[in-house]
Amino acid sequence: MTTGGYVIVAYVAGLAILWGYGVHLILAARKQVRRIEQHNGGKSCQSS
Amino acid sequence: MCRQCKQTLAWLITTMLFFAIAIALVAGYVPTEATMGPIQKIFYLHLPVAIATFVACLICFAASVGYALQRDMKWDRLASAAARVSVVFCSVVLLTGMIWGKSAWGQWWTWSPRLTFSLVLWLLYVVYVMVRASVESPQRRAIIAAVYGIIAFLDVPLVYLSVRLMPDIHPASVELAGSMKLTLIAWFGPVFMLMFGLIALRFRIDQRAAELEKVESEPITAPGQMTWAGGAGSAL
Repeated sequence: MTTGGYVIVAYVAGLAILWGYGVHLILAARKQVRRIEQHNGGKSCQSS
Repeated sequence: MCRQCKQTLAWLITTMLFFAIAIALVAGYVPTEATMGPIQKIFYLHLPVAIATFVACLICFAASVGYALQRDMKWDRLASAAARVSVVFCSVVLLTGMIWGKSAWGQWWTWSPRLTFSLVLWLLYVVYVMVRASVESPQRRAIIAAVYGIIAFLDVPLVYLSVRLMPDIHPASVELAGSMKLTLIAWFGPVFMLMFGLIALRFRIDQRAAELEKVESEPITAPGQMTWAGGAGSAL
């Protein structure tokens, strides 16, 4: 692999891990909101 | 849209925007370093993520001390969130460091003091997460995690000082030209925004999970009566 290839792999893999964890958390939060909606009869998010 | 949804969305868009600027600077603005060549460009991701890992570990340490002193579960949740994020960030530090090592030194890994202490740091926080998962009682888990979180942090100064106190293949400091410094500063912004944002998001999820568990364990009165400390069960 060329040096440029190593740089691209490092950036793609590094950012994929960081953002992958972010996506994981956002999905977990959305799942949690659906659970709250079940409790509150469809309401979970109040406008402000 | 609720207040917390808007906050999360704003954080997400701003962080992505700053990341896009930082990537553009590495791809098209910053010059290639004369001695090391293009592989030096990994540095702009590697260093900010390493410093962010230390800060996440420091938050875990401070929150562990907070729990030990006040016995408030909010401190425990903050310590847990920071520890998880530090594992993720430390994984990126090790990965980008290994790729750099393969290209610059010709080998993926070497047992130099800084690399070894960095691997130990990653293992310490992986074990922290595993220990938390293995203890069922919340109070017992919190006190064990607090003691562990305080002790685990002792490795952070070792990672930082190892390269200065012991002979090491890892560079201790790097001289940077003006454009390189600017690019490095541009990378610190989104990396720290992501780190703080992820800790806040993880903390909020754990906080809501605890409230949800509490409500579910109580007898049902009527629908629509659940209240949330985070502001009426906000999304994201």
